[in-house]
Amino acid sequence: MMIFLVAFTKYLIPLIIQLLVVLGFVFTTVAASQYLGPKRKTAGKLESFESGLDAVGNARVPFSVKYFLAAILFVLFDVEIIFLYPWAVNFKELGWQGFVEMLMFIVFFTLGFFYVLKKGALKWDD
Amino acid sequence: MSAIITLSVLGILVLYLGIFNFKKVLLPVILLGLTVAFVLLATNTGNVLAADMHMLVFDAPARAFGCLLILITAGVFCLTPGNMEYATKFRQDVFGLMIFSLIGGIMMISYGNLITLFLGIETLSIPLYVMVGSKRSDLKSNEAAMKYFLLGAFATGFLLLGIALIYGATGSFDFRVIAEQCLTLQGNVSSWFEIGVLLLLIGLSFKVSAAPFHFWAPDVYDGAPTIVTTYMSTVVKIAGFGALVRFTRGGFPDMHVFGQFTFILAILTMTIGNFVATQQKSIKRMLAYSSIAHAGYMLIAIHCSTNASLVNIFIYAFAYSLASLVMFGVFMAIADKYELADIDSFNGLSKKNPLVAICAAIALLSMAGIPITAGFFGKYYIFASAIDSNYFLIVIIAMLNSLVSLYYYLKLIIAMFFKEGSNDVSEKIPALHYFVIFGCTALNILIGLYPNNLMMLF
Amino acid sequence: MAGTTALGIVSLPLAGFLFSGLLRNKLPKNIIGAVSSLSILGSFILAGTLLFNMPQNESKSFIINYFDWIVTDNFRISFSLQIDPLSELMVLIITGIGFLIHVYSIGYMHEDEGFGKFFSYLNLFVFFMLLLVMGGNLLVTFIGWEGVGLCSFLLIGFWYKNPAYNAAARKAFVMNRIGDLGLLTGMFLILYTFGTLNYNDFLGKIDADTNAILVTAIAICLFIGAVGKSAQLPLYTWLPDAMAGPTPVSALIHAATMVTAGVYLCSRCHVLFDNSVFAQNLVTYIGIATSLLAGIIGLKQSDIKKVLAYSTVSQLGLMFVAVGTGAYGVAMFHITTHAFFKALLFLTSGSVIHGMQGEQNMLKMGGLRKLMPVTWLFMLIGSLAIAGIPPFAGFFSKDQILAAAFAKSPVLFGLAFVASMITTFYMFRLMFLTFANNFRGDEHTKEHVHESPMVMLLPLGVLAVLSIIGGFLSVPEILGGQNKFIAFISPVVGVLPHHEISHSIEMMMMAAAVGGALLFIGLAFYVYRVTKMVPTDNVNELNPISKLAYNKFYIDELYDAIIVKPIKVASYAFYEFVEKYVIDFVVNTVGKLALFVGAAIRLLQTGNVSFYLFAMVISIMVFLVLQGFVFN
Repeated sequence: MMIFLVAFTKYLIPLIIQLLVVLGFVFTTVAASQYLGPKRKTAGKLESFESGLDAVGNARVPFSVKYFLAAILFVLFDVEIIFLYPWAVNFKELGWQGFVEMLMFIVFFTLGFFYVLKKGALKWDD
Repeated sequence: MSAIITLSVLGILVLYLGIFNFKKVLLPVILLGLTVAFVLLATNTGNVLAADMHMLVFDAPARAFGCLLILITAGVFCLTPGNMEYATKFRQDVFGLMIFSLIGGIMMISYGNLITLFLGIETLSIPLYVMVGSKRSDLKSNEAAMKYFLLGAFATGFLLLGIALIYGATGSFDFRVIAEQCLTLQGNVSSWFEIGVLLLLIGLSFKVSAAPFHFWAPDVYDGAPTIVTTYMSTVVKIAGFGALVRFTRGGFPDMHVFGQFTFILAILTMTIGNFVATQQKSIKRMLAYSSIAHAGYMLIAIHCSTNASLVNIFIYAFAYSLASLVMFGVFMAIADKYELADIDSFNGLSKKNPLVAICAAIALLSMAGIPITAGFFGKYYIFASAIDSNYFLIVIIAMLNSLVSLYYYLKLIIAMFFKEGSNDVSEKIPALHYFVIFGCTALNILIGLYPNNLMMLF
Repeated sequence: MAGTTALGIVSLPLAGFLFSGLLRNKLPKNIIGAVSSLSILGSFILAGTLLFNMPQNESKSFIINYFDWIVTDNFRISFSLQIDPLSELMVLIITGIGFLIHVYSIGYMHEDEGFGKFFSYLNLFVFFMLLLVMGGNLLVTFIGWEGVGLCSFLLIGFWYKNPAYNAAARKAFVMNRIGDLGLLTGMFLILYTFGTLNYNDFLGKIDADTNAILVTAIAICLFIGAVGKSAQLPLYTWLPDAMAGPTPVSALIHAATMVTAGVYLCSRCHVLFDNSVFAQNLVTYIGIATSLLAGIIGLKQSDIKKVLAYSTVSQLGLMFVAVGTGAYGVAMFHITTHAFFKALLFLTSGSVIHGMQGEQNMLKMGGLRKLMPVTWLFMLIGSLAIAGIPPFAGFFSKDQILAAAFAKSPVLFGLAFVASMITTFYMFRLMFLTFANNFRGDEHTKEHVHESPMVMLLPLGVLAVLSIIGGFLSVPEILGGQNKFIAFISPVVGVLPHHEISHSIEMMMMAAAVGGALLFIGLAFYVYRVTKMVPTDNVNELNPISKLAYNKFYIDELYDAIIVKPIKVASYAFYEFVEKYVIDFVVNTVGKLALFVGAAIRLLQTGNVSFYLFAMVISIMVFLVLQGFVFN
């Protein structure tokens, strides 16, 4: 029991105080900025930011699913290309073995690419 | 290793055969490729590339489990003719995915490193998510894929966290190093390590649909195309248990950090699986719950971690898969094709097709654990070694559970043999289908007669 | 070589069974009958070749292990057959007589619609009987033991449309089961004590040092099995009822072979009895009591087959007397001669019944000698043989039983002597009632009485010859013989105990037996031939003792009152109260509970992914907490 009390006063009370301070600081700053800051609302300010262009129409139109497919395929092949960088950096050290291994890797994903093409996943209109 | 390479090439080949419209030769090529992989795996001596890094270790249990996986997958492929109408256009894609998934399964039962375990699980699961949803026009299939994916991703997260914690505690992914550490520390392992093991086990329990991580199973089994359900309830389960038992027996020969966990898991799984199965009217759901219940029995062998656990689980998984193949095969042939799902659709089968009815009855009796079927010995060996290790309580509960299970297995048998069915449907079952049903039944009885011969694989 | 032969002996009848069983509706009767008979003949010939290649080692036996059957840590039981003089003798009897009876049945069963079924059962019986006698361990014997019981059941109830026959079959089965329980207990005791069921192994381990109580217990258990199968007191009542089956069945199963299995078993395991005086005495007393009781009942029966049935029980009793006195060779000898003449008697009675259009009541026969002369002659030979008139077969074997009984005690000899005199009397009572005087049935039947066809008479002829000369297999020393038969099987069943009887006494006994037999034949001649007395079927006219014998001492009624009825009452009570209100209630409640629990848990499967995730997370938390705080 005593040990528990000692541990409580020694470790926990500072901890609790710090917690309170942190929370207090967060609340005060957020509340203060809310009250102290000036607010001038204009139409231009409330419009959503589109890299400086004027927004046209509704944002919630459905995209063609092909877009996602193309996007995902792009990411996939992009990531695979990234593997070429470490190989290029260590080209000399890896030597011929590394070259052959990389060739295999490229053949594999070319196979994948070919499959995707043949499947018609990139055909935009049908 | 060469088996895995063969299968990878086979998968790509299948995809390409599909594109170039050689659909007629798909199945022969797949079966040939599986045979080659089977032979390569069975004769594997283990001294290749990955073994040096202890990434994949093709020891005797791994070879046995791997061959079993390939065998059962071949069985599933033999059931595809006539049951893939929903995917006529992209059949080769489903086939290819199934083969890639099998590669993951083989990695799961031969890993020597937690990284390869994780890689195996993911290689197994990701194709599965797609396969479950492959019946694109069917809402239930889509729903099932979505559920499976969400829950599966969630479970994978825990698994990965577990692996990370184990790495943090031991500084290695290598199983040999982890086991060594456990031995030297002799119980003084850090609690991170324990939590890591627990989380890893939870991740694997999800894969084998052990309660309370089983919720996905009935919905997914029900929603997925039946051929995929067949694959999931056999191959995935074998792979999951292969990985589990490899983990508990391989890394921690004498540790019981997971003792209480597996105890609760086993009892919950058996009980929930069996009791809820009694309530099912749809055959697919009933088989799903029965598959959960079987996972419970196999968890007993995980719980009573002894040297016999490996072989016990192997025999049980073998018996269960054979019976499952027969049951799903019969179900697909006589009910699923006509969009029937109720137990009533089995009515009067013994009059229409007595041989198939007898095979189905044998499969059900095997699932219930009646001699002289393989299922009896599966249960017998697990219970016997549990009793040998003085785990009486769990065996008693398991026995009571198998009594309950008789209720719903017999319900099907009664439907087949003692109820009048409508005679309007005349079944035409493909030859390969018959081959699977009769072959599995024969193998089932054979194992029931000579169970000792399987032990020699280990 | 011998292994293949032995396997051939056993499997030929099995092949015959499969053939006639599967093709019985497809092939004509004659082919079925011929194939079945030939399969038995094949076994007989194989067994004959074996006779000239008998094992030459000390115990004259060899054992062929075909495959391991049950292997555990503690014991190993293989499927093995044993060839030695004892099994060889039994095989020859079974296949030899079996073949003759098969041939006879072709004629006897020719009009029956179940012809093929009958032959397949008969072949199956021979197969099991061969397993029984050739088994190299008790378990193989036990399979045969149960198998012959099954075939006996099937054949007794062969004409299953008659409910009384079915009841008889059931009775035989139940009575045999009681005996089987004893045999099984004996087997467990043997396995427990000696760790093996191989005859040679466990018998070799028994000597004077073995626990006497255990040996006695085992011996008595085996004897209980023998009592059931060989129809001894108190389990004999099934055998007379078993006459419901077709007559060839009565001849083969219920006279020549199956019922002697008990005697065979005791002789095979004679070491057990040799080492237990109590068991030996028990066997002797039961044997002699059965012999007397059955004989007395036989005196008053009017059904021709029933008389023969009681005579069989009585003769089996005499065999057990021989077993009890340690004269196993003599018992086996009597089995052999008895098989000859009792098969002959049954088959001739079958011939009579065949001629009489199925009539079995002797009171409605008479005067058949002129109508069926050949049958008369053969039956006379059989009767003389069973009566023990020299030189017929029964004389030699019965005489040796009497000698063995005398060596044990004069009283026993006296009782056995009485039993054999009773036998003589009722056999000739049967002869005279059936064949002598005038025909007592109606005219219609008389017109149709005919001699049986050749296919039936030929086997009868062979059996008649055997009944005449069979005894010369083993002529005792006192008559200048060498007891060859007994010498042949003594390596298995042990040599005869040495008699302390002088030759003159033995001669006197022999003379007394023959004289007594002749005297009783004369008496029967006087009563039933000269005075032409015909016993009555009207119970009220009988004197009390006759009435008792006529009603078989009310043994069946007694069993009914003290065993069957109480069991029926008890089972009724159990059904009405315990079953309906206790067991059903408990079972149903448990079942309902299980379904209820299932229905309750099922509700958790909501189909809602969020809930599933929630449940998973909660469970993981629970497990983590348990792992961190409870289990450690």
